[in-house]
Amino acid sequence: MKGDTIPDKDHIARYCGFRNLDEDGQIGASAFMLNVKKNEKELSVDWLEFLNCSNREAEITEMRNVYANRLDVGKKAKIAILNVGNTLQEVQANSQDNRKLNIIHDPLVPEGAQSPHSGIYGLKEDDDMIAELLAQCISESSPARTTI
Amino acid sequence: MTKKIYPDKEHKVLATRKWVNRISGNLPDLLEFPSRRANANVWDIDTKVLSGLNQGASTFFYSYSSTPNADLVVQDDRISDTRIPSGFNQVTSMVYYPCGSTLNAGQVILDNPQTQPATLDSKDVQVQELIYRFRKLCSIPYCQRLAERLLSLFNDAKEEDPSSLGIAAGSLHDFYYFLRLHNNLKYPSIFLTPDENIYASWKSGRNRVFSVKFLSNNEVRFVIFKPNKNYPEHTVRFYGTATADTLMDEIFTDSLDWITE
Repeated sequence: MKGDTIPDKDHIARYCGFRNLDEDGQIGASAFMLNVKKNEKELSVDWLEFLNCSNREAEITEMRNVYANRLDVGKKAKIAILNVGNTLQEVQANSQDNRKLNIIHDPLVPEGAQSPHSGIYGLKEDDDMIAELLAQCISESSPARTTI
Repeated sequence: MTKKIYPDKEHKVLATRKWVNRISGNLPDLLEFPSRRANANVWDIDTKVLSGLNQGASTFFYSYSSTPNADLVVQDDRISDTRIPSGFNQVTSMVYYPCGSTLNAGQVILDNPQTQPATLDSKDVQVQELIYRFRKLCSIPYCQRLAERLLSLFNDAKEEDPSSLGIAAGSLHDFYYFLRLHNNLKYPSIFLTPDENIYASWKSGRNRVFSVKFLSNNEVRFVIFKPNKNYPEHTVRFYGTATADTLMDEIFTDSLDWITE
């Protein structure tokens, strides 16, 4: 439900386009920077457990469907997966100002109540160090679209 | 068709074909002339040689064997950075005139390049010119790979959104001069920020990170993670802002052994 805080044990997925990947496909900190031009106030993520799938593989498959409907998925794009509790703890423990981020369910209107869309709140424009910490919280990654 | 242009003393001129021709190797490199051509304040674009007039000890001419089909790029050269070796100038901006543009005789081309009607195409050319410079940056061993990486990012960005800048030219420019000044750095991972700025990162494990975001106008933001000198199991983390040309002087690079060759 909109505004729900995502439990620490759950996981979020972040879409990472070509600009966030190095030549080996490793995801960089730029994937966790706000788009100032678009006046972003939070980082868009998706709540994996909200999808009610039986396992991670099914969640990723479902996320690929979500992305395919939501945006033009790049050939090289990847899905970064982070555990909520680890992410919040890592940032709070290691950022200079002990930043307390919030990860909140924020369904997209066109997708309706079943939208897994969520946001990481509490970031600022120049939070490059927190972006680096977030990149270190990635537990796994997968291609964002099914390869044929 | 002869097009005469009358740039003032503070500008130099270079002519170029479309970038796609250049990277395919069909055209020779830009030639550099270390001497000044007296009274060379007028150029006929369709002559075989196009020379630029410049001022200042560290500046030089760009000259290029032009063809009637060449496009024209006028490059603002008013800011000369004497700290940069080998006579290279700080390039502040370029304005691109496609082949066929009409330039009136007697026209001073640039009063202020920032106010010129710079088209998106001109910005593309500017970025591509800069990438070309990376390719020719012989002082670093990975210049070809670097240029390929930048070109790939640029092309992917244009494919995703043709109306985007692709890569912010100011950021790319600062990155170029940063690497010119510090040619002992290892090959970095290169990313683009949402603002299309260059984000270069040198990493060796979770506790050895040096990342620099090039913000244009010589401004950078950096992040460093490194092991504590006395307690290596602890990580020191800090970040800050600096200028691209002095960044490495401001930080203690001795302790960043993973970033240099």
